[in-house]
This record gives sequence, structure tokens and C-alpha cells, in this order.
Amino acid sequence: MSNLPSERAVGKVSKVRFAPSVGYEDTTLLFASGTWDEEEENAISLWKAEQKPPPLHRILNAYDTKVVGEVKQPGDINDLCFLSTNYLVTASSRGTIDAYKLVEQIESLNEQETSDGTDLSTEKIIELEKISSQTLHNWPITTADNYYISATGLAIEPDNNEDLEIASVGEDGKLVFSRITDTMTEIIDADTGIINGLVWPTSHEIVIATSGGRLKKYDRRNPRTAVAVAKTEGKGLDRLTCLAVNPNKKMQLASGSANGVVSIWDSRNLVEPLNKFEPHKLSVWDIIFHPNRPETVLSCSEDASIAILDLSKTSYLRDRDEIPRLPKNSNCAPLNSLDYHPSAKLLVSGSDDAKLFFDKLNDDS
Amino acid sequence: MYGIEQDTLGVAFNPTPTNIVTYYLARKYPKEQVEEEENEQPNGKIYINPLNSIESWQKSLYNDVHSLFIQTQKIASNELATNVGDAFQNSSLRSTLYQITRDYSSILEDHTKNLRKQDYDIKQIMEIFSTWEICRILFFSPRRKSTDLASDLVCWVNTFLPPSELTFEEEQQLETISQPQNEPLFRDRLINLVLRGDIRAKELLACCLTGDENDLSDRAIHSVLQTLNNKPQAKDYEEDQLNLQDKELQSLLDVILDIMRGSETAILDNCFSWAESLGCLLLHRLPTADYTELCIVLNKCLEGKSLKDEGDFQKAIIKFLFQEIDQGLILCLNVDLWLSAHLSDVFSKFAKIGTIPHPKTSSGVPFKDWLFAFRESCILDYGELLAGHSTLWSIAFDYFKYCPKYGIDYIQQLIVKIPMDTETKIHKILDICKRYDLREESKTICKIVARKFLREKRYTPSLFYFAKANDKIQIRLIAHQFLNNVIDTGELKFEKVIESLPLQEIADTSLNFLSQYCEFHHLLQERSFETAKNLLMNLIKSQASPKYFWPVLLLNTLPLLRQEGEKSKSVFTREDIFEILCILEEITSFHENNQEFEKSMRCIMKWHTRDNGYDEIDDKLKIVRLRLAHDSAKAFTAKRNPTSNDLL
Repeated sequence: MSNLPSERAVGKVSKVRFAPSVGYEDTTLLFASGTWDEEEENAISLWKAEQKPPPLHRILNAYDTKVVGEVKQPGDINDLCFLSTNYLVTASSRGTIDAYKLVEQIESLNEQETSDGTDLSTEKIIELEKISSQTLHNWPITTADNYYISATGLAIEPDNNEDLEIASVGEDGKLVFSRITDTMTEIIDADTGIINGLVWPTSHEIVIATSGGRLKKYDRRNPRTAVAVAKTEGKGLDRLTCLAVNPNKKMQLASGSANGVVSIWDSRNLVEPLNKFEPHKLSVWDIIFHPNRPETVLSCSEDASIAILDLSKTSYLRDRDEIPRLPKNSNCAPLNSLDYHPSAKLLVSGSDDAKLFFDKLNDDS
Repeated sequence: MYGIEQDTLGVAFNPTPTNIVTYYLARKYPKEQVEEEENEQPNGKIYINPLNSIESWQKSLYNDVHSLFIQTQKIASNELATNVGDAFQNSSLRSTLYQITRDYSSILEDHTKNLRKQDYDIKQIMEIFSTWEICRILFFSPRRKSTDLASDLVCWVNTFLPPSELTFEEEQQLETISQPQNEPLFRDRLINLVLRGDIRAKELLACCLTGDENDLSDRAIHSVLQTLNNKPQAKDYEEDQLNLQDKELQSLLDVILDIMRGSETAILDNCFSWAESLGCLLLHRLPTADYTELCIVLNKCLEGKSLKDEGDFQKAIIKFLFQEIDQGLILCLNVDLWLSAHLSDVFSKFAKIGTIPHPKTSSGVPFKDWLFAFRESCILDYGELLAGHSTLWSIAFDYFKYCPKYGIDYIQQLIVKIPMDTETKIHKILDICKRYDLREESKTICKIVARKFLREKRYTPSLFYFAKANDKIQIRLIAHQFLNNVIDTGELKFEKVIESLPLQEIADTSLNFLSQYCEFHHLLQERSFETAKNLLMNLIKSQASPKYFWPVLLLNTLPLLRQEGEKSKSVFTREDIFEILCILEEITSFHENNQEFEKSMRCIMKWHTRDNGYDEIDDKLKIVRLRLAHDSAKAFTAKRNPTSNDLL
């Protein structure tokens, strides 16, 4: 485990996600970051992280990271995910689900003197071309202070390669199914409260996390009513803030809560959590399963740390001090999102003081 | 600011964000005039004027230094808590603190470079950076050699007041002239470069060479070039007497040699500003100057110069050079809030380990006490600026945290004023309350949010936040609203709201009643009559609902009571029937001529009709009495005749 340098983002980072890998030995990684809480417009940035050749005296490779594409969008970017390496979908606090096509372009920079004469230096940039924008989450009551209802989470239909369906949830308590290719939507009144996250582990199964501390499972074939509801029980009124699915065990879910609790669930028996950890003092904002180590969960929090949880240690409500974490010596700001690239073994996280942090997380870490 | 066309009607500070002043301008005409000119209706406008705007580069800088500030506080508090007075530890802390000041410098340098690249106006950041650097050189740097102070200051002058560069046209002009020594532009440029110790002076002087080795002028120039090359110390070489025919060249070389000798007159006459004079005197005359000599030199540089028109930045620099830290810091307040906050913070850390001078303050307060109070006031001002910003508000509280005297008061005051647009932001704010154990503020925020949701008729989040605020009265009011809705419509519209709430954690009797009432209807639908009856009896006996709802509960017994001619088994026991009759008697007699009860009954009678699949009822609920009597009679008969199928 080692800290790599940080990068400056254009604003408070709300979400970071790696693009799907093209090959096993990726030397150039693509990832996207979104911002929140900016006064006028927030930004979606596409980053390229290029691996530097390994120097002899160092085992770890560093990455050259740079922004290769950027687009501004009104409202907070609450969630983003890659449909493929060429398409990116975002959920905004204006209730919109926006889809972008990533178009690679060559941009000339400036003239450079070379031995052969004057040469034009060029750089590959990626244009984010908006291909659709649908307001799927809104509040019809005119007495509302504002008409926008935040879209809080996104999930993409798994096990399908063509015309993918997108599921989104929002503060309006709705679960909405849509596609970027048409404007037809299916709207489900999933909760009367606020929904903060969702996962789509298998083609039929969708699980949402509510601010009332409920996990609700829906069957895509008949999504009108929840097929299972689980309640979180703990100290005081807790709300679920994020949800993740184990890529190696699709029935295993992890949820994060506002009280800093990480719960592990079995979606086949959604009654109560299998295990509970309390790695953080404040809200857990994002959570992921380690793709190569199914027993490891990484969570980031308002308390400015990333906790590394070993699920094989089943102790209930473990002592926070025992849990290994990335202390981020140089960071004191809340961490809102994290993602891990399995082949590059690179962990990226984004903070509220507009920084992206990179950590090399080796398998033996 | 004047309103020319309109009259100012009023002025007010906007409560959120804090740095915005809102003033209202309205046009008011006499009534008669308005009637005459129909198009000129009185109108009102609201103008918003930001008192302290933060530019994008400042936002980026403030974000970048935030973590460094917190680290500084942590390091200083940890080390100072355990090792005050320990010389070794103090020296270690000093070097750590010095490293932090360098880190601040690196961030400032980085931002300056970025702004320069983007062709931004860098005046303000340069003022911040140069003030920071002068303090670092004068007060924070652990000096090793006697020449360090002067050389650092010369470097500072050359970095922040670099020799002005020639324009493209001027450069071309110099290239074309045959005898450059006669050109004022050339002379000024050359002298300026010599003053600064700039290596380009040699190149420029070489332009005066004719190429004739025997030429006396060339030999003189070569000699001066040699002097420039060797860079001898000012007092190490003797005055060369040149006697050239070219008087222009002669005078130019004389000035150069005078400067190299450290001639005060030559340097002061050829410098344009006090700072340039200071740098040049230190370079050519006093390269080993200490602080005392520095003050003497500075006084000479300032002689005859009026500082009236100089900005606060220049004045602050001079104060720091004279070691008047308090005066310098006060002037920094007018330069930049970020600068005054972070500079006073670093000064206070160095003051704690006793490595900076302790000048007498103008107020007579001991310097250390003054510095700590000043630091806190600067950080509070800076934090307040951040708290009023739409994006930077969250880092403001990290600054208040490290203000021991008034920090918590500021947090308490400002946390409730942050605009709450989204659920994420609400919880970020609540997390700040949690971090600082602000229970009352947390409750206030929850109540604000709950009321907002209530206005939008979003009952689940509203109840959730009222529960978080422990506002039982509001929860009860909403629960009553739900019960009234049942009385009005006979429908359970709140069912999904109740299902979505964590009732166990909320632990509120009115919500629990609603939840059980929903459960009763579920059981009824599932035809689990026995369990439904038990639940209903519990609800009736508990008397948890308001009395105006009792008629509904009594009417809910009807589906469980046997119809006339029906031969099913009754689910009610004699005790149950007795209990229900008592309640019935109580509400019909007690509430006779009671307006609330009558109103409830009128509403219930509207939907409790045969058309809607219910029994017709009257305002005395006779149907319930009748069914209860029928049920009791059946039970009584069954008791007398055990062979009967009707069993109680």
C-alpha cells in the first residue's frame, strides 16, 4: 500500500469511476470524475492515467494523470457510470439522467521546433458529446421550494451488451427504468422517502437503499412491488447512503450508512445483515468490493479516511482502531467516492477539497 | 453606492450566505402620477451585492492549503502538548514548521505559475506570495551562514521585482545601433542588469567592443567584463582609473564599477524603488548584513521616499523588514484575508517555540498574547468568508475548530445558515454537527429540513427528520393529519409512509398506532380475523388514538361481528364486547353535542355508505350497538345450547 501523488480536480469531487478495462495489462487507464456543490455548473472530467516506465530503483510505478475531456453540467453529479468504454451516463441533482458519447479527437497544441523543421505538437482529447438528457426525477407539487428532485443513483443492466437499460433512483423515491436510445420510461414508486443508492446484481434482481434504513429488492420482470424488504437496526436513526455488489458473489451486497456503519447482506435472504462493521465515525459515502479479493470491502467516508474491511473477520461492530485504513496523510477533507482498477491495482478517491488521490493497493497489502 | 433612478426602500443582510448584502430598491411615485402614467407602475427590484467575492483561482488555492493548515495544527498541538521547553524537540518542531512554510510557498508558486500560463492578472497572488516569502526569509528560515539573509533577500527582490524586460521593439532597436553606449535605453538596461547582478550584463556590455585589441576602449571594457566575471566582493578591488576618449563609455564604465564597488550613491541614484535599492545595496555593499545592518540599509533606501501613495502590501513588507511583526500583520489584513490568517497562524506556532522576535505592540499587550488573539480573529474572518461561499463552506468549519476562544460560537452561529439543497448536503451539515457535538444545532437543522419536506407534502422524510430532531409534537400533528384523512376518506393513504419509516428507532406512540392500524387492515384483507380482532382490541384498549378517531375504530369492529342470520363463529369474547360497549357508550354520551365528534361523524357518514360496500350508519352508531347485541345474543344462545354450531 503506498500513497501516490494527488491531482487537483475542478471542484469538490462527488464521484470517481474507472472505465471498463480493455485488456488485462492496461498501461493507460481512463476514468471519470464528477463534481458537486459548485455554484453554477458542475463538471464531468475524463482523466487518462498513463503508467510511467518502472525505474530501476523503484518497484512501484507512478502514473501521469491528466484531464483529456471535460463537460459542464448544471446540478451536482451524484452518480456516474460507464455503459462501455465509449459511453458515460450521469445522474444529477436536477433529476436528469444524461448520456455522453466519448469521441476521441486530435487537438493541435503549439508549433515546436524540431530537427526537421517546425512541427505541430498534437494531443488526443476526448469530447463528451451529449446524446441524451431526460428529467426522470422531479416533484410535481408546485409548492415545493424547487422543482428539481435529485437523481441519486444509477445502475446498468448486467449481462447484456446491446441497448442497455439504465435504472435510476432519486430523492423522489422513484425507481425509473430508461434507455438512452428512446424516451420510453417505466416509473416505479419504490419508496415514499428518499432513495440513496441501487445495485443491479443480476438481470432480474435490483436492490435499492433508502434513507429510512431499508433495503428493498425488486424483480425486473415485475417491479411494481418489492419482493423483499430488510430493515437496518442500529443505534439511533440511521440512513443508508450507498450500496455495492460483490462482483465475485453477486448475491453479496454491502451498504454504507450515515452513522459510519458498513453492513454485509445476502440478497437471497434479505432480512438482516450477515455482518456489521463500524469503520467510520461519520457518513459512509461510497463503498466497493475489491474485485480480486472477494472478502475485502473498501469504504470512504466524511471522516476523510478509506477503511479496508476483511469480511473473513466476522466480529460484530469491530473496534474502529483495529481496522486498517488509508490515512491519507495529506488529506483532511471528506472522501466522497472511490474506485479500484483491478489490473492496474490502482485505487482512486475524490475529496471535498477538490482533490483526487491515488493509491497503489497491492494484493499483499 | 448611490441609487440614481430609484429610492432605496430598505437594506438587509441576507442570512445565507453571510457575505452577501441585499438591498432593496423601489420606485415609488405619488398616486396621482401613477394614474396619469399608466405604464409607469411602481416597481421593486432586489439587488444583491457580494461583499467578498472569491475568484476561481482563490477557490483552488483555498482548497489546496486547507489540508496543510489542518496538518500544521495537528503537528503543532501534538508536539507542543508534550515537549514545550525541550530544546531538541523545539528544534525538531522548528524544522517541521519551516518545512510547512515551504509547502505553503510551493503551493503559492504553483498557483502563480498556473495563473501566469492562463494570462490571468497575477498582481494579488504575487503580493500574497511575496509577503509570505519575505516572512519566511526573515523569521522562519533557520539561517546557517552569515550571507544567507542578504542573499535570500536579493533573491526575493529579483523574484518579485525582476528587472523590467525590454520590449521586442526595444530589443530590435538595440541590435541595430552602432555605438550603443550613447543610447540612453542601452545604458539604462545595462546599469539595471549590473545592479541586479544579472549575468546578461556581460553580454550587453560586450556589444560596445569594437574588435580592435589595441583599442584603449576595448581594453577598458575587457577589464570591466573581467570584473563582472569574477564578481569580486565590493571592497576587494581597488578603484581603476580609466581615462578614455569616449566620454560616454567612460561614464558608463565608471557607473558600473561604482556599483560593483558598492557605492551607495551610485546604487541609490540608479534604482527606481526602495526594494530594488535594498536588494542592490545588499548585493554589492553588504552581502553579510545582519538584521541590524538591514534596518540601517533599509532606512537609507527609504530616505526621501514618501510611502503615502504606497499600498498596504508595500507598507507591510517594510514593517516586516523592520521586524515590526504586529504592524506588518495588521497591514496584511488589507492585502488578503487568506494571507493574514495563515501568516498569523504560522507566526503564532513559531512564537510558541520562541524563535521569533517579540516586539513591543502598540497597544502594550505582550506580543505573544496579542499574536494569539490576532491569529484567532484573522482565522475567524477567513472562516466566515469561506462559510458564506457556496462551495467552500465546508472547509470553513475546520478553521473555526482551531480557534480556541470563539471558534465553537462561530460554528454554532453559521452551521444553521448553510443553504440545504440536497439530501447529501443536509447530511454533510449534520455530520459537521456530529463532529463538533452540536446537538441543538443538529435538531434545528433537522426541524428546518422536516418543515421543508412537510411543505412539499413529503411525509416520510419529514417524519424522519422530525424524529431526528426529537420533535414529538410535530410527529403527533402529522399523525393526526393522517387520522383525519382516514375520517375524511376512509382510506389509508399514509400506509406507504408508515412502511418506509424505521418505527422501532423512532419509537413514537402515535406512529406506532398508525402502523398497527395499517397492520389490522392487512390482517382483515388476509382474513386473519382472530389476529385482526386481537390487534383492534389492543388499539381500542390502549386509547392511543384521539377520541375523535374512536368511531372509526368502533366501525372497524363491524366486519368482525356476525351479520344477522350469519352462522360463523364470533371472534369477540364477552369481555371484548363489554369493552366495546363501554367505549361506545362513552363516546356517544360524552360527545353528545360535541362539535369535534359531530364533525367526525358527518365526515365518516359521507363515505361509510352502502354504495361503498359499508353498512349505512347514523350519528349515534346504532349499527355497532345492534351488531354487538346480536353477537352477544348468539353467544348467549350458544352457551345455553351447547349443541348449536354458534359458539362463542
